[in-house]
Amino acid sequence: MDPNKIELIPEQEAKPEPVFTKPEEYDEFCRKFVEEVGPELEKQREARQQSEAEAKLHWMR
Amino acid sequence: MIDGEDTILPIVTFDTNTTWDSLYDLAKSHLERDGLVRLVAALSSSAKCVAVEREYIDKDYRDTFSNFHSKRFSTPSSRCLRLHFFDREVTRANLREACVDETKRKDLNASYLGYAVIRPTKPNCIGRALLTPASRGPASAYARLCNEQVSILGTELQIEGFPFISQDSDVTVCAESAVWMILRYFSNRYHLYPETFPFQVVNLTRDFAFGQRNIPSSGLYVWQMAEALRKIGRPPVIYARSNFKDNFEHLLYTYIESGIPVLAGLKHHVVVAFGHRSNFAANPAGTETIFTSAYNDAFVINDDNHVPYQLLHKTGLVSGSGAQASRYKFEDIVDFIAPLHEKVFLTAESFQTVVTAILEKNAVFGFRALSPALQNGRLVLRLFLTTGKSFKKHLGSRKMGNSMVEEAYRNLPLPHFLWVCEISNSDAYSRHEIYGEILWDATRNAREPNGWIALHYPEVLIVDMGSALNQGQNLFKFKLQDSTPYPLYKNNLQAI
Repeated sequence: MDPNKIELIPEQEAKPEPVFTKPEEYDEFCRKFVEEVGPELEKQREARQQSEAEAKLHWMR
Repeated sequence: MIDGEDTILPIVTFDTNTTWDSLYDLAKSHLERDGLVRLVAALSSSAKCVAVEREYIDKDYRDTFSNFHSKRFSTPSSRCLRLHFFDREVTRANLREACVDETKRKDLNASYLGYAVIRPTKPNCIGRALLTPASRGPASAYARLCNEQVSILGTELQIEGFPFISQDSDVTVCAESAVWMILRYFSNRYHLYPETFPFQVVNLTRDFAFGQRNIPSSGLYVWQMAEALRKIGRPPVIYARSNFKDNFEHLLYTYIESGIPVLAGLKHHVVVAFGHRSNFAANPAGTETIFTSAYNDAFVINDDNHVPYQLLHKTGLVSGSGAQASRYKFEDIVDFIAPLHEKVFLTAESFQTVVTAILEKNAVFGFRALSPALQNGRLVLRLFLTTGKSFKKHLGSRKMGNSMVEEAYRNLPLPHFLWVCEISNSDAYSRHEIYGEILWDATRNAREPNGWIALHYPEVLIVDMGSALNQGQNLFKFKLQDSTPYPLYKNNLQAI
């Protein structure tokens, strides 16, 4: 077995194709993705921190 | 009829002359009228027979007795009663035969509804209880459950349910009771977590009391409850409605759908939510993509002040539903604590952000670019956590809509925990069917763009073969033909 390859569907004639043929295409996809989700993830981080702070004030009996 | 009234295990069978009041008379050394009312509310539609186990030493009550009651001038008994409920008449001979005959044991087990410990504590006498959800009658809901083995006169029976205990108002109030219910669920279900008794729950919060007395308990802050869960090995995440205005109930639903019981905080009270009820015939307004939480109309809860398996409805009390409906509604839930496994690093809201960025907005991998079939009608997305092991276990029965997908998933190394986004539409979801899914490594952080492992649409399967070999992301595409809808993943919750 080639340690850098994995055969997911044994004995299949049609082999899977790579999605990105150039490393630059993949890097561009990653860059755009991080840029797109970053602001929303930051808002969520703040909302969670705020929730944790409020948890110190919410008392239950 | 009462069989063996003076024995260690009198058996009460309800008939015209023997009623719940007869049980009260027999058990009134421990059972209070208020406790009887709660038992009747929980079990009157199902229980036909009750075995009263006298002189029962309950590990949870004995823990509070040793650490609290024994220190008082006037002490209650150290012993309890344990009531075993059956949905048919059971005789002493049935119990004896079931001890040696497996067929008879299984037959008896099928009639067993579970047990409730009756403590000599006032005002709340209902102690540890594990009742099958069937004891309440059908809820048409889904819930997370655990198992226990119970011994009655040497006969061992299994019971499946969610642990319940009422507060004793001294060592435990609602906060400690709710934490106990969650911890007992974890220790019953997984060997990884230790069994924790009520006074130990109090001790878990002791380091965070800051000038406050632990005993008698006057309640806990949300963060103290979160710390108790963290110390037991379930580091939690906390969500307050005020900070998650748009998706608070959706996130609560998503953790429950993931099979994670949560502590749901009300204004001055807390309950355990561990299931939900969906109206699959509903047609939520709008044309945009929706999440399956839009179909949810109730959470299944244990409220220590009431009976097990109450439904907390979206809009509040439903007429005619009696004690099995909570008086609270969705908007009364102020915050919640979800105790995650230590290896789950990606939270629900982060997963939602990254997966919808791929599915809906991405020009390379979005469904608009790759799947004509998914463009017929509104998408319905279902988000949940599961283990790689469990996901693989059910591949064979689900078939995954295409034999290539089933085979590829079977041979793909998966992380311990996965976030899954199932892709369906309104028609298919009403039939509990889906068209594809995106798998995301739950041990990643949200800012890693290469956290997704597989993307499956009816026309294509894209798999990351790099992470499978602990290398950088390396995406490969399989073209699919003749894909069909297939069953959604159901292993996290059980129908009740």
